[in-house]
Amino acid sequence: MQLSFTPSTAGESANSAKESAESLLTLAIAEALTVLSQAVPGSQTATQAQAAATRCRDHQRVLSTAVTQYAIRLDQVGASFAATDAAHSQTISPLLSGRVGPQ
Amino acid sequence: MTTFAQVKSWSATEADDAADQLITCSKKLDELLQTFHDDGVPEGWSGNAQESAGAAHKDLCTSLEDYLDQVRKAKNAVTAAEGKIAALTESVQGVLAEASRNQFTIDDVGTVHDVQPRQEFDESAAAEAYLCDRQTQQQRLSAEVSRILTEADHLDTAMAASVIAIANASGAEYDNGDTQGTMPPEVVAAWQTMSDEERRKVLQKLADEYADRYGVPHTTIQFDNLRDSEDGLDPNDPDSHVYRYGYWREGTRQLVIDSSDVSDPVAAINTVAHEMRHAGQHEMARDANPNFFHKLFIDWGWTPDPFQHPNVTREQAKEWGDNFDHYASPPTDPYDSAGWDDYRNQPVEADARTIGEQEVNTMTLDRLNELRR
Repeated sequence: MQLSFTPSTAGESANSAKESAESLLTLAIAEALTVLSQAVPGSQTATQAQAAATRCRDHQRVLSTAVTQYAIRLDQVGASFAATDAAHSQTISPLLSGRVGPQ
Repeated sequence: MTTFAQVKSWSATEADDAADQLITCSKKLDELLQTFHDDGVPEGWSGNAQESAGAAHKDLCTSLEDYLDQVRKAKNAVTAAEGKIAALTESVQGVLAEASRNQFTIDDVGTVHDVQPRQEFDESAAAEAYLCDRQTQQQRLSAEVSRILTEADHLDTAMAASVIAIANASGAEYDNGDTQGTMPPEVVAAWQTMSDEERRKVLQKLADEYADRYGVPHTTIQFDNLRDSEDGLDPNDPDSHVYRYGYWREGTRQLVIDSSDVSDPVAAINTVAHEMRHAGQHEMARDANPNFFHKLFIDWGWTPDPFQHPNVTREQAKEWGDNFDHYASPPTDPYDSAGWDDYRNQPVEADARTIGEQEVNTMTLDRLNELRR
């Protein structure tokens, strides 16, 4: 199995995922449902919209948490890759001190 | 079945606002999903890490797509309904104006009443013609009211179905039969007009009320963003998944409420009542379990019995005391259903949830205004 990595792309993806996680929390779906419940008072839509508003908030938090966790894992793997890269470089570098053969 | 009084209070403007907001949310969620979809897996990776990241990323994309799908459906249902609600409110105004013009009234359930003063006729034919004309008018108005109510029912059914679908898509994972309670729309509307500072004052007053009820000292609410604190979700801790609305810490007598919930009256009021109940449970448990000497003094009548808590039995309070000694903390994994069941079903949590829900369910505009004073 081939393994390759570019640490900077892990950071970019992680940052993008973190931004998505933050954006999820700002989605005002619950607020829209609350306005809907006020538009049609007394209806079953109003009752359901109120209950759905709370659920949407909870759901967005769970989704946001899951995306944040994903971003954190990407960061961790990126850092691990970078450390491995540095260790490999140190192992190889003594060989780079001179040419083999007649100078 | 929708009543005429309810349909009279429907607002096309607010339906329009709700549709606009859902359109904005749907668009934003779509963009968010596209970005996450395109940038989610690091391009420079290959091998097992890439495969694992790809699988995790695919699962997350599917969850976001499911949510987006339901939000879109609700948006479509509400957008389709907004024009019909506008037409319906116009019809309501029209039928009311016609009824008034011809001396009829329409009651809350939609029955049309003839309120024209009694007429005198010299000839029976004229009287019959008059009666026939009035009945025809009344029937026409009744038919129009009936059409309005049928249309309102159709609209309501379609919109409610889409809203229920969003709620269902929003997580069977926390469908435990409990709710945070239901608050009258006028209270929610009033809350939305209040500033953040005013909302916090109301929550503080509510906490003080509960403290007085349980005979504990007042505590200043600490508003923290629990998403970023060590007591809530810690974005830097891969094992931290738990999101909390707030908590009561007995040792330091701290009442902490998530600042991001202050804008949500149901969550904020429920949480304050819930957490203050924990403060009360500790106090009642102490009162139900006096130490040896204190008990002796009580038995001899030298000291009054501190357990004076209406609606709570001594046994119940003792059970809470035992529960606090063996408290099951919430699990760190949101999908650990056994752990969540243990946490939720313990006596102190079940009781605090009931109190939180009761507070929300009994909240009225008058009570809110009282708390605002």
